[in-house]
Amino acid sequence: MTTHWLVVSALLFGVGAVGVLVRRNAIVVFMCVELMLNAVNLSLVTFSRMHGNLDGVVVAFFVMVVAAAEVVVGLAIIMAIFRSRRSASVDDASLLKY
Amino acid sequence: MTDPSVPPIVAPSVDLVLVLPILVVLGAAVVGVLVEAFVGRSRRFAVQAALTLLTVAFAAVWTIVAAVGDRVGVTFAGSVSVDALTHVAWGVLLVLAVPAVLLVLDRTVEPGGAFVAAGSAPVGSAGDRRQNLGSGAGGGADGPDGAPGPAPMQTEVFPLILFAVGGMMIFPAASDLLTFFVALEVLSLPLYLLCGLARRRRLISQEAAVKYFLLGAFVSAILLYGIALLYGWAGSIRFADIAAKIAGDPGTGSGVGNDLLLLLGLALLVVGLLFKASVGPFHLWTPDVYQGAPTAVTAFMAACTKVAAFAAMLRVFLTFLPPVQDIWIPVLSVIAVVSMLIGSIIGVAQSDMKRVLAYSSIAHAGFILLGVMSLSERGASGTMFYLLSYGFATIGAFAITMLVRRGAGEATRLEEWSGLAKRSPVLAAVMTLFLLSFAGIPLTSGFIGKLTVFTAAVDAGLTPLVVIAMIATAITVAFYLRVVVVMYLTPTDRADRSADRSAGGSGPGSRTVSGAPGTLLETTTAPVSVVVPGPAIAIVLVVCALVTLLLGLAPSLGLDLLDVPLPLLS
Repeated sequence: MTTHWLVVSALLFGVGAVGVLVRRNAIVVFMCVELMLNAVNLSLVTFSRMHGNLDGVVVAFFVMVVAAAEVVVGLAIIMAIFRSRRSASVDDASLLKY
Repeated sequence: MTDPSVPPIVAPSVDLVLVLPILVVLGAAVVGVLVEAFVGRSRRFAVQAALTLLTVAFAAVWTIVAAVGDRVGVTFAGSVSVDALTHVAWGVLLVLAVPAVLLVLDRTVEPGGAFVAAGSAPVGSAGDRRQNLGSGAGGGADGPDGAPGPAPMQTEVFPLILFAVGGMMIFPAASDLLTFFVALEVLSLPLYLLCGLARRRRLISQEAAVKYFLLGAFVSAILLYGIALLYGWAGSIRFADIAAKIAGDPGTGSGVGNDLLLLLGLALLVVGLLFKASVGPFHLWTPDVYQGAPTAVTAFMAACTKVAAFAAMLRVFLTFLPPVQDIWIPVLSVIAVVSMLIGSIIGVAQSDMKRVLAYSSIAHAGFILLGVMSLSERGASGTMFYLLSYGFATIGAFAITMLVRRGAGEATRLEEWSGLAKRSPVLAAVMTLFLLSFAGIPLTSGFIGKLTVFTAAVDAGLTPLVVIAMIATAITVAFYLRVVVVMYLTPTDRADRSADRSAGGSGPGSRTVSGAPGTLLETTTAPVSVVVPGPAIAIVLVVCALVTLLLGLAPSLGLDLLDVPLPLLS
């Protein structure tokens, strides 16, 4: 029964990964990364229940903390570039190439 | 009273002396944040710079003393392993961090410092223009004539660097998956911010930060999924338990690794590591970020992040891979070849100095991966030696890149370097030394690095790979020599003509962004000039050149120190 949760988690992870690759707004891309992290959390908690130990749950808590820290840094960077360019599209920022 | 079926909770043994260098570095970073809040603006720079430099130097000395005294052990309930590999990695990392910090704190090349005075001011706004025009907002650094100079740089840079160094120290010592992941984030997050804080060309600096951040966050999510799958397979996050399970699986020989969770988990974990080390097909962020980030930060990333990533890779590979190497060595071989060829072939076509060095770092990552793949003592110590020699040469090369300037910014286009040897023969000679070391010419440290790594790979039975590596080396020689030719044999007036062309708006360097004139590439007709380095950069150049020569002439000095006896503790 618990394996169903692993499938859900894999699907969520896939949705997030596809979102990162196809979406064009930096904020949405970032939200898709968060979705991937939460999918991993679901996996960790499920595995934790399957193995009957708490390691996975502990890791999931740390992932939440790290995700929060990432939001702080990420939104600061995206804000800075939005204020300079008036756009948060990842296509507009294309001065660096080749 | 207590339920006998529940085992009592035993407090884990914590040996703080073993991890003292990490505690000191992270503690100093926290103190640095407090300094930002409580020390007056005029004295902040001096306090922060001294704090950072002393901390890194102290940690380096402590690590060397601990390594000589052979103080090793596993602590924090098995999550941090301080063994010979950790000591060697910390030593190399901290020794490279000192010159990187010296580049960051230099204020002679760029008045006020190479970092932005107010990162929050939008590019092109009034506040942004003011910070470079010498209105001396907030009692800025005084110019040479006593007039107020540009506003001083943000000193938050220093605590950020310390946090990054702290994460880089935990990374190779991490001995469970949780510590491993947290260390990766602690080293990455400050770097994302540092990339976006350049004083000049702020738009490309911010763009580099966004690209690095989005790709980095994406890859850490992938790596985390690998961690979850590995935990699901092994039922434990300890490296030791997972390794025992891999080794003790009844199907050893043919069946191991067919287990989908293990295979996928290891693959995703390895992808994350290869991304951080900018290897092979996972390198796409490297040229953009190296070009856009402030040059001092690029030097720090190129040298120190690589050390941390490859040292962590050594621990992961040496712990997990030996029982399943039949499956993994072919995969990694392909990655190493792709990395070497991408780095060397695309590198030849680059026209920007910082991008040339970025592609060079990708090619070198392929060579270093050979040492890691050897899964042997010689491979491990060869890898660390390679990282040490490459680190010093690359920091030196980026330091010289900081000195060649046009107008207010750095002149990084290759044609602007033409005739550098006439303008300043000493700098050109030192740059040539670093480039020869990159190319692996004998009597430089780069030669010894390649020699040790390649012999270790041959011993491990990777001879075909070494042959390809030799060919890639030959190609890289071509692009290093191209820079030498530009510096020595191309007449200077070409640069001036190209300046006229780009001023006319048709040259490749004339890209501008509406609303932010002059902030992007700052194309000017000003002649290329070479700044006389201040004491900090001068020390960096002398040290890097001396180390490059010394390790080339007397390699045993380094090789003996960087010995990594196996097996690792975990």
